Amino acid sequence: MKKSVIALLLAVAMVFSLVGCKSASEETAGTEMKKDETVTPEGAKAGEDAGNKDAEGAAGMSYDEWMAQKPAVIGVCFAQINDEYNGYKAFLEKYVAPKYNLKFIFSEQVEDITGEISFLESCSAQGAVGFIDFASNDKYQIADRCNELGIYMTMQAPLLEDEKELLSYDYFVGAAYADSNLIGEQYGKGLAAIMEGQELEGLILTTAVAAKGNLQHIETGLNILDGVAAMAGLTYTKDPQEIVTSSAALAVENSKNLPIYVYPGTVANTDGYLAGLSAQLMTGKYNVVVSSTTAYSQMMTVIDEAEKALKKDIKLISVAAVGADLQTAMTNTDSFGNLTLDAAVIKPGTWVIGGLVIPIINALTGHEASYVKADGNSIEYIAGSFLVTTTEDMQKINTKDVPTDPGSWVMQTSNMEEMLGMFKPDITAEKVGEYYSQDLNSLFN
Amino acid sequence: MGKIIRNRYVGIALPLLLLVAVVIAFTALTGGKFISYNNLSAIFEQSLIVAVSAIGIAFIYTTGNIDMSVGSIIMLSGVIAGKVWAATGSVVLLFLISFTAGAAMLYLNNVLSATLGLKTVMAAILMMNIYNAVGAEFLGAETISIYRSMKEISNSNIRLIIFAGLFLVCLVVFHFTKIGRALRFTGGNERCAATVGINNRKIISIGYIMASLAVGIACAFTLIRNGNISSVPSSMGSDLMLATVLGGMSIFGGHKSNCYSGVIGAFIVVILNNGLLMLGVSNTLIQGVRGILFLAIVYLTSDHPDTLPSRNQFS
Repeated sequence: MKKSVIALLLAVAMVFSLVGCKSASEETAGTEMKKDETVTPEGAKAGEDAGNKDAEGAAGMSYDEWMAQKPAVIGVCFAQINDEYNGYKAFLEKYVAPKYNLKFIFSEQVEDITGEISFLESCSAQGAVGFIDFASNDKYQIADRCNELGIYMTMQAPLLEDEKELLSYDYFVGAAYADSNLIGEQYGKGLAAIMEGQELEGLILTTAVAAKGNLQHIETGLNILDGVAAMAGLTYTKDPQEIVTSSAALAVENSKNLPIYVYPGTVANTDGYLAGLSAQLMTGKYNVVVSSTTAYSQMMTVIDEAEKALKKDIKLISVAAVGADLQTAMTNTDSFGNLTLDAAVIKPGTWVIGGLVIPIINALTGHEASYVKADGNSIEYIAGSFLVTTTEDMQKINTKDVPTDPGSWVMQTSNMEEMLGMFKPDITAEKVGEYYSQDLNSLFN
Repeated sequence: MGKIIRNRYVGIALPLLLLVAVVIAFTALTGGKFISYNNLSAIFEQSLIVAVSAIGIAFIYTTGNIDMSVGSIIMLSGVIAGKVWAATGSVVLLFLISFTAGAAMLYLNNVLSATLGLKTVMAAILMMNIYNAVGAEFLGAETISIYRSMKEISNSNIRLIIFAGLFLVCLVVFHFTKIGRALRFTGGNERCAATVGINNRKIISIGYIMASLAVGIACAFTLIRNGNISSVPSSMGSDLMLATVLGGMSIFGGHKSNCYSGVIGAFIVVILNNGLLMLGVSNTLIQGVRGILFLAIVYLTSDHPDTLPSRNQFS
């Protein structure tokens, strides 16, 4: 009885202290939100004016004025933690942060909307004034929440047509990504390059999350299907758009009965993904695998096993980011003397990451014209990408974005300063967009 | 020191004291930012669903049974309710169906276990796979966004009131009624319990009724929290086990069980995550640091018998 009474008293005390705490705190919500902000009132005021896209005449800060403020806290929400994202983290933390008076908070791997919301709340509690979202589990909800919290956000994802209205939100200051159309075209060219002089026996197309509307994966799938149709002179029974956005694996019916297998899902979020891929490869019908994500390192093991078992070469083409994984994949050879990754469509690395930070800095420093167009909408930051099919081409690009060499970042501070209002007070959002979307080949050669 | 830790009254208070100590430590290390309104509010929001589920699941764990299917149940109840909401636009129906479907699915595990003569853990694992498949088939890769419909409710105190009410009801039933005593007796030794006239099957069913009530509420709360419905099940099954153990209760049940350990554990998990993030612990190290802290907490709050655990859930 005594034990139960003690248990009851302790437990009730805990519940009511939590209830009391939340209720009392609601009364002081308004003032406490501002106290949590790291940026001083002057910076916050500039931010507030910039946040209202109808405001006119707000003067932006100079670099010296900005550097005299306390560091601005920006949360970075990662959907996955791997070599690529660790590189981005090094770029932001060690290169961008000290130069532009920023402090970044990085999430763990965020797999669903619950984790994304929790991380955003934690950032807000730490006084974050910016949020960079790689997860995008629910774009509208996160944008709404950032709007309510007064946190400027950018998103690393292309916006579908019906999502473009997000650009009109006060605190949604930009979306930065590699151009899906261009990526898709590069895949098509890559397939033609690796299959030159060889017969296409069959192809597995991993469509990742195309079924969920991921533009990049959809464009990849469409371009590959177009490429195969051109190569083999075939037509498809179903609409290619319907094929690539299938949420279930399917054998693609075509006029030449060429084995083409669409395989949705990813290594990260689909149980038994690699086992399923292996089972298809072991049928012996396919000699090309197309990967829509950067999970080629995991796929290479499965492909290698199939090559050894079937004694045939299986080509792999994938999207990739610069780093050790790419170096290994396009230097090592399989038992047929071919590269383990035969062709790579390389994302522009920190050029995209820079595009996610620049509009937030412009918003915080009050340079509204540099990220908001005349129509009141923010801009999208659309970057190009590259195709490599040889070790030599890969080596040229792989000298970029090396975490230990600040001079190797694709996005240098000299490039950022061409797009920051602090350095170019008269720059417009349109000019920023043009500069950002320039042909990056000159940066890689 | 060991004697003090093993004292039964200290054993009751220790998890709560640890919770308070962790809060004090993080408050001191963050210069007071840890106990700011925003942060405490975020901690409460992030802990609530696990806390609500844990209050009810304790009734199952106490009898020596385990149910891992809560994550899948929450997902499927959301999918069903979301489809109805998409067709009708009714928020009332959304919550009613989510609650009812969630409660019914959890109770179904018990019915199957009794009917087919399976251990509840096996019935739960089997049903979990079925629930996942049905959810994926109904919704596929789509998501249903309900965020804007949930805004007003999420800003109100209704969840707080329901949580407090549920907690008090479960606390009274578990600690002050014959039902609670019978649950603990069954969990301690089923044969002895049967010998003294306790109908084990009936008492386990009553435990499942209480758990279903709590999980049904958790399903509705999840809709408010996430504002988004997808067919991806959460890791709630393992989260509940972790929260219960961190709160100082064995998941194998028995006479030392209580219904509030999971609540304490749920808050400990979120407070640790939150505090480590605030202290700037690298996101690559945070899992390791968290693991060490969890290990320390579990060691301090668990029994240390001389023999290995003998309860076999799978025999």
